[in-house]
Parts: sequence; structure tokens; C-alpha cells
Amino acid sequence: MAEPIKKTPKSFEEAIKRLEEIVEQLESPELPLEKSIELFEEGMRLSQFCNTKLNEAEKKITQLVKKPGGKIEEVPMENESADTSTTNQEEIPL
Amino acid sequence: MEKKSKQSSRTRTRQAPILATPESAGLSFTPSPELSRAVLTVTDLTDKIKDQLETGFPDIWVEGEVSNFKVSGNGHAFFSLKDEKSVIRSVIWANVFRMMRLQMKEGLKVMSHGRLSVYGPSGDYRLVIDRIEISGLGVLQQQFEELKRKLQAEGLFDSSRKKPLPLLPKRIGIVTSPTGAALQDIFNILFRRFPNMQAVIAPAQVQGTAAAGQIAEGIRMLNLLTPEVDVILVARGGGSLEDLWPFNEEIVARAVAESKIPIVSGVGHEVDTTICDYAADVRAPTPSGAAEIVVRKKSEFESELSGYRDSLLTEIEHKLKSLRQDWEEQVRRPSFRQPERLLDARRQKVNDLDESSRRSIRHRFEMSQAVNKQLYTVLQKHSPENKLRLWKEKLHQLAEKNYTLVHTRIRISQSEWENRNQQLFTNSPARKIPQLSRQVQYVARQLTDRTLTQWNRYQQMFSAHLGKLNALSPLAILERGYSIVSIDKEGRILRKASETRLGEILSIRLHQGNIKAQVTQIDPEEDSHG
Repeated sequence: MAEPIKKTPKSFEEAIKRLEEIVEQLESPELPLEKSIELFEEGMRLSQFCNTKLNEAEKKITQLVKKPGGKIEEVPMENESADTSTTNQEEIPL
Repeated sequence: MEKKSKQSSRTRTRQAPILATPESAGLSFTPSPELSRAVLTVTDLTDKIKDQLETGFPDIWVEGEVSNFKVSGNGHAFFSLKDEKSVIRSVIWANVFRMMRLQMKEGLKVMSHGRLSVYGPSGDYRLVIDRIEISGLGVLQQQFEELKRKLQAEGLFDSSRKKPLPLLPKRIGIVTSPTGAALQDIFNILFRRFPNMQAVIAPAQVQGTAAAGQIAEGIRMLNLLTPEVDVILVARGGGSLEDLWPFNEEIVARAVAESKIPIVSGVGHEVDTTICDYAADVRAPTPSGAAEIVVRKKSEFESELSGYRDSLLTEIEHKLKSLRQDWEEQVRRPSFRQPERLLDARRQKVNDLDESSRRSIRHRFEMSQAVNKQLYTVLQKHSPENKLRLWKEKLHQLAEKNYTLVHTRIRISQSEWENRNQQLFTNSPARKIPQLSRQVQYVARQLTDRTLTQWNRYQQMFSAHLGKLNALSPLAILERGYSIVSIDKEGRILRKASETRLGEILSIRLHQGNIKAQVTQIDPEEDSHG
């Protein structure tokens, strides 16, 4: 009852930190059942959250292009540079 | 003196035609006064010059500008080194030239090392170069140190300015050449470690005069992006000091320092340190190193997470186990097993009560009798003889009356006693014992049954938990239609209807969602009649 269950953690970092705390708290033998279940529930929710975060993004490579008006636009990058070893070596000036 | 000798030589030349025949004039026909003079062939002389020059200048440094640079078909490099007044021919043999990283071009000021060599067939000498450096190097190095000192004094490199890197970046900004090898190296690491990563490239030249401005601009653009990038890599592959120079320019250092997004710098090889490296939040040795610092392996995260999940399960399992032990201990206790024993004590108490009230009534009765007897003896003792009979009669009457009185009183006492006794009997807890006993037995059985059923349910749930992660959650209980009712204000969980009051707001947690409800009726006995 000390702190209310947070609905969604702010960030992945925060969630991982809280998870660590919860596991530590659950180890205490004096913890009443209600609190244990509450923590367990929160912990499961946090690990679910982290899992979602890990898998949420899709691979995407974009390139910034400056338009004449000074506006910056993101355009998808050509596939050739995105794939690992198939780049045209002669184009590399270095 | 000079004048004099000039004069004399003039005199001699004038004289010569007189002495010689016109045909032979000026040629070697005239024998020298010294007969033993040594005459060298051209090759002899060349050999001597060669010997002198080559042993005299075997190891020299020469500074000059490159001109007339040509590479022959065999791969030798021919050119001249020159300054304002003089020129010296130079050559770099193909085997040396192939190994050189330096790009030779017209007008380049170089510092070259080598030896002098005389080439007889063309009658000239040249510098055979084995090492060559750009001679501005010292100046660049000086600029580097100067800028470093200046920015350091401004606090641009202070560790307090360094921003922490995100644990799990979602979008990564990269400032580099879109066609460079550095980008490939970064991509290799990035997507191998984290296949669903997002990258935004801010394309920039990474060498040449325009590079610094473009790099700085790239950093600024990435800072303005929505959705924002979580971290920025500034990267370039290896190269000479000149190649890496843009990363040593103030404009780049300032852009790096002003960035709100943390920056990892990976420029050149491990040995190269640039101003950009100092200004960045983290310096990586190479572009791939930068990628490694920024992105942890996805699999590491995953195993960390599953570690936490395992701990959660182990802990809750442990808790349930110890609760089960507690419960079993309770069930084994005698009062739980034989509820009659609880009654025994009460029955005894009722008996004790009965006995003591009976005793007290009897005691009072005995007391009355004793008083009466005493009175009688006193009266007898004090009567005169004359009036003895009268008195006796009177006394007798009195005595009789008295006796009746006493008797009545006794009777009253007796009936009172009986009354009370009756009352006591009717209200005796002893009479209630069988009924209570039945009730207790019923409740106890009910309790045992219910707890067992509950326990079986828990056990089923428990094994389901072990089998399946999701089912393990206590939420699953709720899924089966159970709900947890608590007093909204205090959050205390309710177990008895009597724990709440009419009108109180209750919070009911269901499998999905919560309900707030108000108490409209309380039926605390429901269980015992059920």
C-alpha cells in the first residue's frame, strides 16, 4: 500500500530497475500474500512491457535530405547499403 | 689584383696567335708545361663524382614542393623537389612507392628522406626517396593542440557534461558518409545484435574542406528530428591525419558539445584521437566499436528478462508453499479436528454456574432458620412466670404467627428459588449445547470442505502455473470468475460481510478491470445458514 501500482513505466530503463526491486522485495519472507501477489502481478506486467519494447520497432533505415526550403525530410535509404556485405566496394572512397 | 690578372690573361690571349700557326690555334696541339698531368675519362670523373656525392649524402632530409610528378610504366615515381631558387630531381622506386599512403600531387609541400644518387647515362644526380611526409604536419599538430587546450579551458570536455547513453535505443542517428566503409561496419554490428533496430543517416562528407560543416550540420539536423533519435554516432573509417582533419575542427566540436542527444564518436583507428572524440559523450576506438557501445545484444536483454520472470515465479511459488504449510498446521490442531472440545469447556462452565446458584439459595434458607431459632430462645428466656401462660400463649401465638411468617418467607424463598432454578434451567446454556454443538459441527465441516475445495483449486491452479507461465498468474483465478473485493478507501481486502458497512464504497477487482460498488445490504450469517 506504500506506492500505487504504476500503470505504465516511463522507459525501458525504469522498468528493468523496478523489476529488479520487485524481485528483491518478493524475497522477503514477511511480505503478506496480498502484497506478494500485487508485486508478482506488477513484475509480470513489467517484464511484458520490456518484451514489447524489445520487439516493438521494425528495422528501418532512412536518410536525411534537406529540401530547398530548409526543411529536413527522412527518406528510406536504398537497400544496397542496408544489406551487409553486398555493397559496391568501388564506391567507397576511403 | 683582379683587374691585373684580367689584364695579363688578355695579354696572353693576344699573344697566342703570334706564337701559333693559324691552323693549330686554340687546340691541344700546344703541349702542356707539366708532362705528368692526369687525364680522366668522363666515366672516371662521373665515378668520382658519384662516389663523392653518394658517400657524402647517404642520409638526408629535404623539404620542398613537388613538381613535374609522373609515374612511369614500371611504377616508379619521377618528380622534382623545388623551392624558390633551386630544383632537385627525385625518384621514388616502385617498390617503395607502392607502399606509400600519401597522395602525391603537384605543389604539395613535402619532407622527404633519402640519399643522393648519380646517374651516369644522363649525367645528373637525384634524390632517391624512401620516406615522404606532408611537411605541414607540424602545423596541423600545433593547431590540434591549440584547439584542444582552448576547448578544454572552456570546459567542453568536462566529464560533468557527458550524457549517459540509453540502455535500449530505438532509433539511432548516424553522421557519416552514406557510401563509406564505416557505415557498413556499423550496420554489421547494429543489425546483427538487434535485428529490429532503426537507423537514420545524416549524410556528410568525411574528408575535404566541406566535411566539417556537413558533419556539424548533420548533428544539428538529427537533434531536430521527430520522432527523435536516442543516440547519435559520428563515424569515419581510418585515414591520415589530413583525412581525419574535419573531426578536429572547432565547428564539429561545438556541434557535438551542443547536442542534446548523447553522441558516441568513432573516428579512424584506435590510435587516432580527434577533438570530436574529446567532445563526444563517449569515445569509441572505431566505427564498429561505436556501434558495439551503443547497442547491447538483444539476446542479452532477453535472457535478463527471463531471469527476472523466473525469480518472480520462484518467489510466488515459495510463498504459496509456505502458506500451504501454515494451513496444514492449523488443520492438524485439536480444536479444528474435534469442535466438541470447544464445547466441553463451555458445558463445564454452565455446570459450575448451576451449582453455585443452587448453593447460594440453600445457604440463605439455612440462615433464616437459624435466626428464627435464636429469636425463640431469647423470648422464652425473658418471660415472667405469672404471665408465663399468657405470655406463653401470646408467645405461642406470636411464635406461631412468627413461624407462619417465617414459614411463608421460607416458602417464598423456596418458590423464588424454584422459580430461579426453573429460569436458570430454561435459560441454561446446557440446553443449548446440543444445538450449538450441531451448529459448530456443521460449520466446521463446512469450513473443512470449503478450505479443501479451495485448496484443491489452488493446487490445480498451482500445477497449471508450473506448466504455463500465463496461467501461473494469480490473475488466472480472476479469469475463472473470482473477484477480489476490497474497501476502496483503505484497500483492505474483505473476507466477511461484517467487515463492511452500509453505504461504503467497495472496489471489486475482476479479471479485466475494476468496479466500484456501494453496499446496499449486509447479510453476515449467510454462511451458517447456507
